Parts: sequence; structure tokens; C-alpha cells
Amino acid sequence: MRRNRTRALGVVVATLASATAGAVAASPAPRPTVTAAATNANESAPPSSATDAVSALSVPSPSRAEPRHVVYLEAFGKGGLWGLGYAFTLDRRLAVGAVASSHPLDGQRVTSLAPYVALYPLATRRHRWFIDAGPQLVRLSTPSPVPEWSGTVEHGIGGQLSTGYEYRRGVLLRAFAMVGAGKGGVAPWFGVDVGWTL
Amino acid sequence: MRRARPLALALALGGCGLELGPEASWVPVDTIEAPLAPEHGEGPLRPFGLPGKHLRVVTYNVETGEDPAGLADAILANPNLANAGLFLIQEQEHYPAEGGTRTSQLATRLGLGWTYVPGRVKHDGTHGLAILSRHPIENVSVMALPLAEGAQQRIAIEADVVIGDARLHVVNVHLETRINIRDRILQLRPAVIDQPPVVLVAGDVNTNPYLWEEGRVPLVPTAQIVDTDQAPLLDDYMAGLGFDAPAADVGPTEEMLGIASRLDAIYTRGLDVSVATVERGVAGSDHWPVWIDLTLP
Repeated sequence: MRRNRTRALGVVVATLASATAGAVAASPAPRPTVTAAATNANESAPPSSATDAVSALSVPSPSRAEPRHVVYLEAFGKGGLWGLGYAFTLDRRLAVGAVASSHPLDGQRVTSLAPYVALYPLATRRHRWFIDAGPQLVRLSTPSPVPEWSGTVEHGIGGQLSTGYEYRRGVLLRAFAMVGAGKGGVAPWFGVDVGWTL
Repeated sequence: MRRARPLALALALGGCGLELGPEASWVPVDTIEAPLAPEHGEGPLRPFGLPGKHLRVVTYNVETGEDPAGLADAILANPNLANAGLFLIQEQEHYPAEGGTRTSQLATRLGLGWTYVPGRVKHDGTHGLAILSRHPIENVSVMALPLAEGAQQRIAIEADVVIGDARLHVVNVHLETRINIRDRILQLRPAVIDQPPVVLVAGDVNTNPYLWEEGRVPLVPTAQIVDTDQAPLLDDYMAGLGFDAPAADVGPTEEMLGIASRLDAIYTRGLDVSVATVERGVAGSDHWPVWIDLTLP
């Protein structure tokens, strides 16, 4: 069961990675249809077909360049308890980012780094549904509280898959559910982000 | 002269963190008065057990022991447990309305002598630890373990079990649940640090597989990626004191919400242990009993 779940997570990660590679290759060129629509608004016919309406919803046409950088604080989420995140928008549908965290727990210290690739299957200018996935690297340091024991340091690597809602309007708000997977199995979790677009 | 004061003082300091707790020390239980006074008893001993200096020792969290008759039936129905000569019991309770203590009812049905040592008051009764034995139990003392912040008082008891001309010194412990390994070591340490060379320590050490944030939030995803299981770390700490962990490989001793954990442990020093296992077929508690066979030196 655990093996199947981990394999499924791997498939999703691979799919996202593949999509990202395509987006990076295509990203330098602006969308010609959007540019044409903005430039020739008076000459263009209003969208009349159902296909055009869906496109308008899922790929918003910006009147100005959208911020490409996002910084945020994450509660729970990829850092376990909290984290500091950054994301860079590659394309309207794709972004890459990472969440880093280091916090003490009763004298122990958990340090983690979780880079990810994010996909936006549905998006308007302010409201978005996102899916992201990536590896998680964790270091757990346990210094000894007593002289007769030496303490331990543990390292681990796993993966995570998250999906949730994102709101952008200068501020960034996210709420998401996630599953983390590693040698210990698969477990559900959740997170909340508050940040800014730059 | 009687003194319930050490335990009462520890109770009063319930809000202190581990590092701020009072210095823990052993207190002879016969000096403690109500409501935390101990109870000792011995009914007709049932002839059974292993011969000579061989002894089967069981540690069992009985989850309040609410049904002593049912618990005794479950133990006697298991041939491995029915042959045990010594039980270290955790999470036992007593309520006056029930007549005799649950420990006395369980021990009488098993044909064992007993000692019940309350650790704290609960409602109109008490909550504590017990030792059941087919051999005399002597020199019983209790220690109020350092308190975890916002948690309940935990105790350890020590005693000598007299087996012919030999004595086995035993320590029975029940540690806090939602604490991390450093605090778990600090809570256990006073009960084990100054023990004699030949000793058995056992109980519900609550070595769950999580890191806890303020004793409230288990960091579940972190536990999937990096090993946060506290059981091997406590084994490692005890190894530094010269203890073997013969039951380290028995696997989970409790399962809740689909999460299996090795919460219960037996540690020995200066003793030969031949067998160790857990009896997952025994109903009556949220823990499973763990036992070993040992040979006294």
C-alpha cells in the first residue's frame, strides 16, 4: 500500500517536472493572442464561442505585467511547523519555489528544505487552484540533555504533493492540503501561507 | 511522621517544566499516608511458574484495569502469561465504591501477591502502578518523576522481589505521552541513574514515533521523512547506562488510529534473558503485554 502511494506521488512529480520543462522552453515568447487582443481591442470581435469563454477564465489576460516573485510565511505545511517560502513564476501556469525551515523543539532542532514545482490548472487574476510537488530534505538534531548519552543526528529525504487555493492581490494567501511521503510511509498534512507578491 | 508530602508537593508543582521540577528521590511507600497510601496483599499463591532461578516477567499497561475479572481471564487464557511469576502493571486505578482495589482483585484471581502504589488522586480514587508477584515483594519505594509542563504526575516504583535466596531489584515506570525524547530521558533518568548493577527496569515508557510541538501537535509529515521514533533513542540512552533492551525487537506494543508504536519496554542489567515477546492476542487494554524470561545470577 505504502509503495503504491509513493509510486503515485512519484508519477505526479515526474508529470509536473515534465510540464515545467516545456514551460521553460516556451516561456520567453509572450502569448501572441493575448497581445493581439490587447492591442487591437477595437478591431477584435468579442469572444462569442464557449471555448473563448473558458480561455478567458483559465488564462487571464493581464493589462500589465504580473509580479513574478512571491515571498511568504508558511504555517505547518512543508516545513512541518512553519517555514519561509519563495516562488518564482515561470509562466501563467507554472512556478518553482522552495520552503525552508529551522526550528527548535524542546532542545532538538528540525531543519528542512522543500523545493517544488507548482502547476495552476485553473486561474483568474486573483483566484487560483494550484498543485505543487517536490522533494523534502530534513535534518533532525537531538543534542543530549545528559552526560551519559551522546545524542543523535538524523537525515531523511522524502516528497510532498500539495493542492489548494491561492489568492493574490498584492498579498498572497494560500490554504492547502498535502501528503508527505518518505521511508516512514505516507501521511496527510495541511498548510497556510501568508505573503506578498513582488 | 507519615508523609504524603513529597508526592503532594510534586502535584502542587504541576505547572513547572521538566527542568524546573523538584529533585526526584525515592520515598519508602510505607511512610505515605492517605489518599496516596499503598496497598499490599497476599492471597493463596497458585503453584506455577518456571523452576529455580528462572523467572518470566511481564510489563502490562492495563488501561485503568476497570474489569479485573476479564483481565485475569485474558491473562490466564494465554499460556505464556499464565506462567509468569512477576507482573509490572501500569495505569492501574482504585475507587472506593468498588470495594477492594482493582489490583487486589486482579492479583487474587491470578494467585499472586501484590502491591499497589497510587501516584495521584483521580476523581474520588487513585491512579498508579502495581507489582504482582508469586514471590515476596519487599522494600517498595516510589519516586514522583519530574513533571512535564501541563501534564499529570508520573511515578516510578522500585522493589525487591525475593526469589529463594536471591533478590531481583525491579523498577516499574510510566512516563508522559506527549513529550520529546530529551524530556523523556530527563523524566526517566532519576529512576534509573543510581540503580544497582543487577536490575530490571520495565513499564510504559510511551516512546511514540513523533516529535511534539508544545505537547500538542505531532509533526506527522516530519516523521515520515526522518526517523522520529523515540523507542530506539531511549534504548540507546539505556545502553549507555549498561542496560540491555531484550524486547527491542518485539515490534509494536500498542496500535491506535492505525499507528503502531512500541510504547512499552523492558531493560535489564546483569541478567541473562532467553526470550522476549509481545502478546498481541490478549484483549482488555489498549496496550499489549510484553514479557521476557530471565535467569537470576
